[in-house]
Amino acid sequence: MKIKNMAKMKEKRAKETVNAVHDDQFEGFLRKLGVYFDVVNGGKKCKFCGKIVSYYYISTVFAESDDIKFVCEKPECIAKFSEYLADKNND
Amino acid sequence: MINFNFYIGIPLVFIAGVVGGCSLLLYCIKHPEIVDKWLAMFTRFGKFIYKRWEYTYVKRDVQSVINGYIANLSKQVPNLLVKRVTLEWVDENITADQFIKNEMLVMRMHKSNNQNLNIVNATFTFVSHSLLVKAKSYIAKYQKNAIDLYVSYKILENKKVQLLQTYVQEILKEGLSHKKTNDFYGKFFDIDRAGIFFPVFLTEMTFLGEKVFGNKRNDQEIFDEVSNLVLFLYRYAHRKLHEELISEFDGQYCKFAIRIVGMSVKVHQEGEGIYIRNIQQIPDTTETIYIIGSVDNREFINNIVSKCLKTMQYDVYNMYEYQAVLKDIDNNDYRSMSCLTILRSRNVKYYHKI
Repeated sequence: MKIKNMAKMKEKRAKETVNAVHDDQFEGFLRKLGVYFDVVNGGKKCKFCGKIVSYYYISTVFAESDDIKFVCEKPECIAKFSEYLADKNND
Repeated sequence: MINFNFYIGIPLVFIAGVVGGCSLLLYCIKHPEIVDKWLAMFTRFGKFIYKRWEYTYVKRDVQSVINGYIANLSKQVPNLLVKRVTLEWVDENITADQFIKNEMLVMRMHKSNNQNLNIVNATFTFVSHSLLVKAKSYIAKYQKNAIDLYVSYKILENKKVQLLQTYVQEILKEGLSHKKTNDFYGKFFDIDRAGIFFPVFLTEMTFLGEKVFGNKRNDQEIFDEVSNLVLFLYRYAHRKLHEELISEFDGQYCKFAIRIVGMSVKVHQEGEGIYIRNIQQIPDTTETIYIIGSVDNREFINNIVSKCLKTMQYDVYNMYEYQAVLKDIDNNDYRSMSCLTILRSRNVKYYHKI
């Protein structure tokens, strides 16, 4: 019983690390990834709503099947992205 | 003459200092969200002096809001097992190859003058992604959305007014434009006022998430069961003061009973026996028993529980105190400090072969 509880406590103390980039570094970050000009020239779309993603409204950048994908700041896109991550976690 | 005050005084101050220091250190280790809060407060003003503190502020402030809530939530729903969140600034020199190879994901944080949006986005992403991960894979999309919207609202509710406004404008408004989600969200509001959204509904959701389904799962059956569960708790939330309901929810996957140890006349005149008999008559297929009463009757309830447990195959799963808003006989709000004892069966059916 104690062992079970300790395992649960350990699990509770576990951390989930989320990578983040600050606005000040965002342009440099996109340049390093080689996608900055694509983004500012309107060449990238939000993975979930399919609309052209503007530099100012990107909420998340992630890697998927050898490509770099973007999520815009629309709530439904953030929600869809979370679902996508949850599905990925469950797989 | 020897000065005893001097000889005793210094070691005492030293020991008190060491004990105090160790206690503070232990407290900080146990409550990292408090450290985040202090650091966020300090760097909020300090960032004008030292530029790097802008980053510290953005990171610590987001962490303190989310992790502060997780710490509180874990007391209400022990099985939630939500991990604490740590924001890690991505390496400035990362290349596209490394990014793709490591399947990375990077969230953008706005400057601190737009910190409300950072917190709102991070909170909603965290709730959608990390809360009830298993149960959400079983329930309907509108049910999941309503839970995410409501829990995010609760996280931000007691923070700054502007934060809640940002949440309402940026996320809630859009989310509630869907009728079914809106209907569920409204019911959550009433269930939570009665104090049973987190300790009963979310607890039942974590139990649902622990179930394993064989063969092909009947999704619609689970969707209906969750809807019925919400309706059941909604009706329960609208009960009148001193109204004693004998209520069992006997679903396919959620099987629980709520018992109220209530009226003081009954408590004093009839004693424990009537309640013990009542609880012992609950069918043993019931997986969870929620015993609710006033905190004034805490000892009385504890006695009932310990006597019931002598003959029943249940363990105490959690004990929790909360403020509930009930209706009096004239339908006016009545605030009451309630206590909840949750008993969990030792014979829970985890595997469902369909």
